[in-house]
Amino acid sequence: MNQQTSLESAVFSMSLPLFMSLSLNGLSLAMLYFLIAAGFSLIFGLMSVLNLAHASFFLWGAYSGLAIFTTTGNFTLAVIGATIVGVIMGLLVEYLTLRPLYGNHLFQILMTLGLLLVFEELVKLIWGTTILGFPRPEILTGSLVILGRYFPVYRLFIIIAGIVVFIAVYLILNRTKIGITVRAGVEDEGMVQALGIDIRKVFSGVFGLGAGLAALGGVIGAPFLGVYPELGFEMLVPALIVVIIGGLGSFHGSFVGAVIIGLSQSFGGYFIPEFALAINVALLAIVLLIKPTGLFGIEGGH
Amino acid sequence: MAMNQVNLEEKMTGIPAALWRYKYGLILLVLFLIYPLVTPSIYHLSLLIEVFIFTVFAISYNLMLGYTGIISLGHALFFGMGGYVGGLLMVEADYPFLLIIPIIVLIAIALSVIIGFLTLRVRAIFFAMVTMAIATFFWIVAQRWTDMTGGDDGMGGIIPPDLLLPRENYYYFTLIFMVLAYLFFIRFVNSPTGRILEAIRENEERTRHLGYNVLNFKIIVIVIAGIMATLSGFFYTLSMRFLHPSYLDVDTTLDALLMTVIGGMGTITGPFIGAVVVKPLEHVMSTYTEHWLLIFGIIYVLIVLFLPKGLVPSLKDQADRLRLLGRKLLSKN
Repeated sequence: MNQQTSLESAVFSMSLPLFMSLSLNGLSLAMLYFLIAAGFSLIFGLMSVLNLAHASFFLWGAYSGLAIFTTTGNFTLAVIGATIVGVIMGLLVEYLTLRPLYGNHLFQILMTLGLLLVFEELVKLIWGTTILGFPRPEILTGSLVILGRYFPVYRLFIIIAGIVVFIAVYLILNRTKIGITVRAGVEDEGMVQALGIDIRKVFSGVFGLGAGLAALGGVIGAPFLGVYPELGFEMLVPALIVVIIGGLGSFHGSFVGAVIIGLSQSFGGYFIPEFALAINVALLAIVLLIKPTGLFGIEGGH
Repeated sequence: MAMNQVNLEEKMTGIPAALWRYKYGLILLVLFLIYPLVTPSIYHLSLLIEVFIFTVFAISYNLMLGYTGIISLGHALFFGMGGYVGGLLMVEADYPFLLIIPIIVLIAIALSVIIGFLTLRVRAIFFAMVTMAIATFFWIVAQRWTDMTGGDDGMGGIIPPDLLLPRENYYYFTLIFMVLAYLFFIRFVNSPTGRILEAIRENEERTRHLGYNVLNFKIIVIVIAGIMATLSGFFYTLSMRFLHPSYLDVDTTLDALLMTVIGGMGTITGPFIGAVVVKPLEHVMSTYTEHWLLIFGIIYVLIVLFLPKGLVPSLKDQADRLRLLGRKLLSKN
């Protein structure tokens, strides 16, 4: 009872700067969720693969980015290198392990779950199990003062990077021929093939792109989250919630879902730290009850 | 044809057909019954207790994945719930053992029905995703709610009732638990309901059009699987006399999945073979290398890719093929 009233007074007495600070915090988290959820959702929408190994691309993005950064000291190089590592991993996973199983959804899920485990254990084998720090690059250290509260520049960088990626991929999907093919593939795979387009190449491309986005999320999230083997799995669960809320297969849905989950994580984490995830699970239940296809989901489906 | 052969065997051996069919199982059961009289090793008894309990856990997973085609990525939820709710009621509230069992069974039913209705009516895939999210949620609660659960340090002092206190007694108790679960499992998959489940696995759309309410059948399965997993978790906790958040984590779900895949999905013998292979291997390998999970993961990936019927059934196929080849060669000579 006492706790209840103190919580209420805390909510009502929340100042504008605190509100701003929590919002920006939540948004930076949201962009990381978005980067991992976007590919996850697109891959599911296009090829009906629930790719649990997607979280591994995020994890490996963080570790390979750290490895490149510590050897070269160049953050831009680390970001580019980690993204490339992600793309290559994605292409290999798609070609070697998923392609033989197309049409068999059950075994694909079993496969990606196994890969999630293998990639995490490989990280432990190579880099050990301790939490590694990822130093922030010089330019992005320090804080800005926003409405009298300090706000780390790095988090602003994450937010801007996330928005830039969102706009870029959104334009690719909606303004280019490749994008139209991908969206058509989500709608009706058979029709796209009938038009003489090799859908397998589109699959590989989207898989590589999605994996690259997740790895990008991993490397830019690393200085903010730290680098440790469970990072992938810890990002997977919010990503699952994001794609269900946003609607499986919807790109802008994953963006909106990520913003919702990021903000609820940030505000929930401030006021009731133990149960921040409980709010997200509750949101998930509400969406499943009221609009089971998610906010921007496609009706019917698989 | 098959029926005639069974009758023939019955006439020849004088053993009822039903018993003859499970002759290997019965021999194994007799061996397990006399085993504690032969060996005094507490370690081996404990390992077998673990195998018995995980066999039931694997049966529950096999019912969903192997017989109905439902994937749960958070089956540890039930295993851990049975452990935590049962263990805490025992330690904190002093509830008697026999009262705890119906309580955790009721919670398991409620939980499965809620998750089932929320997810399965939409898309089968949601069940996989949501079970993973909810299991992770409870895993985090078990870690963070340190006052109650002891957090990552775990919680000890969960002592079985006096009757089950000696290791041998607990051994026989879990053996009976496994045998009862197996009897139920065999009857259930051979019942008309079991056949409909297989029909759902093979072609859900067609089963629906034949007029069966697929959702109801799926919910029946996840309720049964939930109850079995919950009881396994509780009995496992009593055997360990210890609670730990790892009972709720994804590795526990992977254990059940690994056993089901290695033993053979949708087979009667699968869960037991899976548990017998996986549990002792885990114990042996973890003493040699801390990267044993990596080895397991790679084996698992290779099985899914190349031996989708499961490791043991595939080996059996190979043996059959060799035997057939041998017979052909012999008859030629």
